[in-house]
Amino acid sequence: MSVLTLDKVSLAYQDKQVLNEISLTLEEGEIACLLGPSGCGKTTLLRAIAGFKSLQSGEIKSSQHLLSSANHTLPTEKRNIGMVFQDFALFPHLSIGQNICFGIRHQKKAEKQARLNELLELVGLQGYANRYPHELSGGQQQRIALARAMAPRPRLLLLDEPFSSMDVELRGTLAKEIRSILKHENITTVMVTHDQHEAFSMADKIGVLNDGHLLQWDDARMLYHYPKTAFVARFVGRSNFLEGTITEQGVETAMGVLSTTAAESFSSGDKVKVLVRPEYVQLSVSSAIQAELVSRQFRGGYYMYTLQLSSGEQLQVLLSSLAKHQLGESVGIVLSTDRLSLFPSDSCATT
Amino acid sequence: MHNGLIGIRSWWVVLIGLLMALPVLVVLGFVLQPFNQNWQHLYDNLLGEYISNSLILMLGVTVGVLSMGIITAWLTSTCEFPGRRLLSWSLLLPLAIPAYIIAYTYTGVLDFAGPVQSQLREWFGWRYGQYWFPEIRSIGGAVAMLSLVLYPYVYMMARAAFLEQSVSVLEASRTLGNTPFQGFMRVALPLARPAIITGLSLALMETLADYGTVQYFGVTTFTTGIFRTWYGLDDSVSAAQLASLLLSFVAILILLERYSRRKARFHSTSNKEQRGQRYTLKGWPAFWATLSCSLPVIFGFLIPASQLLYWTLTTAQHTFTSDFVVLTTNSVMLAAIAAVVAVCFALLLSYAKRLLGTPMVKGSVAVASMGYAVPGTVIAVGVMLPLAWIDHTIDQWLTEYFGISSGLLLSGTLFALIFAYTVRFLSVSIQAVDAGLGKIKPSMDDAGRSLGLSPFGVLRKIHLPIMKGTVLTALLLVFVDVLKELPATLILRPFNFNTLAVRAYEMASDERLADAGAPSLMIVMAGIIPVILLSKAIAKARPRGAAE
Repeated sequence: MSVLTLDKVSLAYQDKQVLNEISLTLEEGEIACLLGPSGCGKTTLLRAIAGFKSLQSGEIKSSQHLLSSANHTLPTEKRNIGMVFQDFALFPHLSIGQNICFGIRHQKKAEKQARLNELLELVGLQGYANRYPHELSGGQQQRIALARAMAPRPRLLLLDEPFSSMDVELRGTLAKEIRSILKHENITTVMVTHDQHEAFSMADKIGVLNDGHLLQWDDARMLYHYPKTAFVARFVGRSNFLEGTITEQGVETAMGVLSTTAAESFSSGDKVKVLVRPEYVQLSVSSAIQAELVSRQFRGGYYMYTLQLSSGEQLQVLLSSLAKHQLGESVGIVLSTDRLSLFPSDSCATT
Repeated sequence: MHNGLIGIRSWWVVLIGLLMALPVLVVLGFVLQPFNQNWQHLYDNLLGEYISNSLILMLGVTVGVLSMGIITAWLTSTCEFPGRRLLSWSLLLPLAIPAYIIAYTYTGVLDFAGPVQSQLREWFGWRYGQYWFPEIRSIGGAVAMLSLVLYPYVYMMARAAFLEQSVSVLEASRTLGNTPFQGFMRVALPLARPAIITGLSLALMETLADYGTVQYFGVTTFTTGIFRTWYGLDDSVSAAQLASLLLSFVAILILLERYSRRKARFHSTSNKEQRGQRYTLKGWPAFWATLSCSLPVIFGFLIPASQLLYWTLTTAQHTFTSDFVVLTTNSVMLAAIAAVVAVCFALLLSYAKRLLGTPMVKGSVAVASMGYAVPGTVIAVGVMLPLAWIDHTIDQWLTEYFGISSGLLLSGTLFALIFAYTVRFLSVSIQAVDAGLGKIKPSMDDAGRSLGLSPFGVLRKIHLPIMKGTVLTALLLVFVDVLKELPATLILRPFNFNTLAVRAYEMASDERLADAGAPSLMIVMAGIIPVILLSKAIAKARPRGAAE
């Protein structure tokens, strides 16, 4: 049974539409991530699920219980939803133990103590119960905020930009740790982020939002290789777009005629853009398609080369740094995949 | 050590610190003097009363200011109800009225011949002695008067704390199963506690320092005791000893406040993600909210201000004479000089703290800022004694060697008054200047220097333009505080030198309340200026998004 169901959720401030008919479902134990640029509505959606915002239309349900609809908003405190805030929002006047037990204060003392110990062990902070939030590092505060939200065993956990205040190195380790905690406890989670790497490392399902619309709801691999819109293609990963024209054989581009099943949804003569990820391009001595190396950036194991095609179009291409090519050199290239994504030409104009 | 912009040297700062600490040190020094028979009399008959009255006053004022201050602060900062915007700044207005002036007005309103009792007699046909009416001139009355004008300290601090609180902390308590009211009790109130206690301790310091109200209501406390011993018994030693006992009360208050705030700096939960949403009240809750926020304004400001206006108008013909002009000129001149002196010292000290920042400099500035806690009566005693001694010594020396008498050079002159005002109100200006300087990041100095400004150029082109408003605010705050000051002025003023505050006091003491109206009204009107400044500063400090 799905733990969270959103059915055509819409929300507006005054006359500005913030969320537009968003629908999605989340199964028990899944970790979902809402990804999008700032102002896309992802935080508003999270706050609507938490019950801090009322809906204009649509429904939010949890295991058949109605949480929100146009004329009903169940108060946050009755939803049994845990939330970890961007700034953690630990209560500075309470100790770590008191913070974690804040949501389970009605339980018996022994039960509380047992849950506290269990959670502290889970987040790896045994012995911190009597410390105060200000005595902890950012990463530790993060884990306490998580433990506090998990203490009442919520049916759904919400994380609002959980790593935004961390430095880059810490983000990676914490994301891994927190994912393993959530998976271990089988907690259904929705998190919000603008950082795709965070989304990749945490989430089972990723929803890309832009301008209040849910553009795609998929796993990370599908998002990367089969984006449904040009916006998703641009927002997730690096992307090159080649001009193309649909023909009987496939798509005609500066890299030759590419045959792909994706061409079938277009009619002959249509102008399209072809998504070419940097890894899709390989060198081939025998290839008839030549490109000039314009510039390069060292990336450790790889170089990011900029290639210029005969059409004048430029491609960003990722190639092993074991071999070094001179700038200005001409090289033969081929595409290593035939599963291409095509978009109508005019849809790529906006970023 | 020569450092930075204007070559401030640390010994200057230490010297000013010592000078400002002099009155307190003198008073404390008298504890070492042997106790005389007056002290024995005080100890046997009066001291217990002073202490118990002071404690009752403090307890009563605590209850009064906390209940009025916290409720109004919470309502205006987290709820929406009719009149909220108007009330959220008018709730500061009672600050404009010194406690002794509100005491005069309510005596006028509530005594036998006043409008309230007259009206009641007319309605019910009562005669003198046939009915009971609460006596305003009592310790209960003093508690009411002090609470009405001092609650804004708690209101101000609590409101700022409630507004600063991170919305996500309150939301976190909701996600953990608390209703909004439970969230207030379990999170918002405990987080605001340090701020509330600061407000309370300011109110209690004013309570301890009060002379005008308790004197007029016949409640004997330390301050009236000091006056009585000083003038009635002509015993400066015992007066100073009483003053140091009063100081120890103040010291306990400060220590309690520090203790309760020891973790306060960790209580800051403010962050950039503020999304305040007020609870919109409708119907009866809205009515009660509007009512409970209006009552303090009505009783703390509107009624006394109207009474003063009425008195001023009815006595206008014989009040506004050339005598009144002299009175006003005296007050304004004194206040202006004291303000300039205090702000100059404050600029010097604040800059020294910024540029040198050594423990010795910081300590000296802290000592120089102690005055706000010291009652005016104590400062007056501590200023009078050393100045009189200096005068006496110089006079003796001149008489002995040159056969001329110098008379009173310092103690009976305006110098003594200005000195006392500076000690008492320096911290007000230091706070204002510090706040202004704090806004100028050190990197701005560096940027100015790197763009070719000399140290003096940095001061002139960067600091002064930024500090202009701050300096003006500091001047105004001291100016108004001096205008309201009563006990130190009473003790230190030169013979036959009157100010508005002294005139109001004298008229009230002569049972000529209506004649106290005009000078009081002038003081209250001046007092409104800093209230406006305050409310503007509060509106500006309101976190983005927490606004409507």
